[in-house]
Amino acid sequence: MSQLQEEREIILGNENVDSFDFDEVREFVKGADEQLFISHHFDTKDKMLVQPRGGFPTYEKQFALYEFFVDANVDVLPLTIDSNTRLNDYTTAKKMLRLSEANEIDMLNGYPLVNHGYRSTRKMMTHFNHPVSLRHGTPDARLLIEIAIASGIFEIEGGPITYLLPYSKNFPLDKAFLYWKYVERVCADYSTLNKPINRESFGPLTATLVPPSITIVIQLLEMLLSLEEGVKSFSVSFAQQGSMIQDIVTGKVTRALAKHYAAQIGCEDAAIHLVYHQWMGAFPTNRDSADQLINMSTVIASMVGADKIITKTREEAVGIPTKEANAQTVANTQYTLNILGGLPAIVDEQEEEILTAEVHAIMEAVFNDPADTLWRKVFNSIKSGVIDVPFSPHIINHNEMITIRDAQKNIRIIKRGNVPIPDRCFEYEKSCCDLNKDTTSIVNDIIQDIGIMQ
Amino acid sequence: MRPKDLAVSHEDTIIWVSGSIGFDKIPSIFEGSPTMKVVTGVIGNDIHVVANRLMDLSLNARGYEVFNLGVNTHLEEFFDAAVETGADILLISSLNGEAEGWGREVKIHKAKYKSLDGLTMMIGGNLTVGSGNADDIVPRFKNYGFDLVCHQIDLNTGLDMLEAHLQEKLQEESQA
Repeated sequence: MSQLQEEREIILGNENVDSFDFDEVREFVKGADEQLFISHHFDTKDKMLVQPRGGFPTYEKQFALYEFFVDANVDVLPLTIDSNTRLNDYTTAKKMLRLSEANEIDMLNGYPLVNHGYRSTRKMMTHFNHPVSLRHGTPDARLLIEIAIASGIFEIEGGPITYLLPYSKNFPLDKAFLYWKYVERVCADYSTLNKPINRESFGPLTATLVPPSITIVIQLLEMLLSLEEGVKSFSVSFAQQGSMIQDIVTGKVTRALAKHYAAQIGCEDAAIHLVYHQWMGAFPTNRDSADQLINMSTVIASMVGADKIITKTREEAVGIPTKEANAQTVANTQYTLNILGGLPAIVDEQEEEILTAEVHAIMEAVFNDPADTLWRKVFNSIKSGVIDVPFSPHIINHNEMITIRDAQKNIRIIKRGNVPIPDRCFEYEKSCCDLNKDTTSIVNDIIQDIGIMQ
Repeated sequence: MRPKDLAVSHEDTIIWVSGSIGFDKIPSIFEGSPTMKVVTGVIGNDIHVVANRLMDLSLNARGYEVFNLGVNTHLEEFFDAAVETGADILLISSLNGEAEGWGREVKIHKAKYKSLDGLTMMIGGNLTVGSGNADDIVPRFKNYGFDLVCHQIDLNTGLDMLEAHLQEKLQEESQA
């Protein structure tokens, strides 16, 4: 028995799992309808795929949500997981699920997939016969992704960096790398049976003034960590940044460099997709303003040429959205995509050149770390601040980098910390900003820059 | 997607203090006196990090030496850090309103350390779950042992209040 299989049997021997039948699950994946695979839709559809977010505790409510989404002409269904499951606390999730089933009130902020189990969840997934994307935020997602794939969920979001640095203060990053290595291997293994399982990185990170160079570096590294384990379909992603030109440049550089670095490790055969998140920062409380923001995000995603867009709702600032509001965004986004035509091709060679040089410089510093494996190089680079994510709560993050917006609302680096931004790029970034102010004024500017959409 | 933080123990959970994130130090307003040390962080299971980073930046810019414990910090950790660093000021923040629950234990923890008698205690942020008004909240937190209470007050106003308070305290000490 392989070491991976041994580990899988331990993971699936969890007391919350009702006898996992490895052979039956393999047969199911092998024979699954191609409509369930988002990788198939990426291959065969020309349009940008539309995917909302959403998860409710009970089977019935999740089913009802999917009915609304399908009526709104959704392309990809989400399955958002509750926060107890994300922290591997299945006992609390079970208790809260029981309470949610017994009362009308939802006691969980998502679907506790492990407690529901794959036998019943699979019935829902095969009933709707749409591709489903697993949205969670779990540093140790080993059990969760096993149950997801066995249920017919063939896209797994997340990664060791993007699901840790924005969400956690002290979960050990080295452990996260090893737990995600398991996820990559299991996805790679199932990918040999039918259409590939798609892995997607979570590009928005903290959604708070993260400069595109940092976003892209982390996207590329999670992609490489995934491809080197044998994953054949991967989505890099980022969220609306606040400046249309910066988004267009980011999209273009991300695509070009993803292809470049995948080829460097001999993985040209992997399919790489680009995903765009509608604005992930603080939302306006006014629902009509929120609708306008969402609509503008859709237009920018089209300018970027994204393969998939992930939507927000007009109730974002208020709380967990109702299924009605959620489905309405899907319908509105599809409408906007349908009527958009004659988009101009916008190029900014200088911005592309600067951003590309920054990403190459950081990647080179990561590869030059003396550690023997890629994940250790990445780990050391985060620890030493070569990779620094603004506003990450995690203790390992350096927090030395400072960013603000220029007059065009582009995110600019005004203090680079240990991040090896080349001198000429750094001078350019600073030259775009008005820095003849004291720090108190700059802090006030940063507060404004975070809340630009409110 | 904003799960509460992961309560996983690890070697890194020993008291961790960040370096400065300020980029230009302006001289201390308290000319002639040594740099004031401030311990800060977000109390409880509260992952709201943005204001915490901005506070760190602003305190540095105002000339304080900052020991930032970051988000998800328990009450004991604040006092341990204050003892360890010899802090002059303890500045606790709260966004999700948990401070209310922790406030009652402040005096008990502080009383364990004689060396903390001169510590200036400040709390700020959103100090209640749901709605509440400052007229009720401020006296309540003063009773818990805080010298300065800022409920939904902007960052720079709060730090101005701190400065005024410290100057007053210095004057009192020099007269005594």
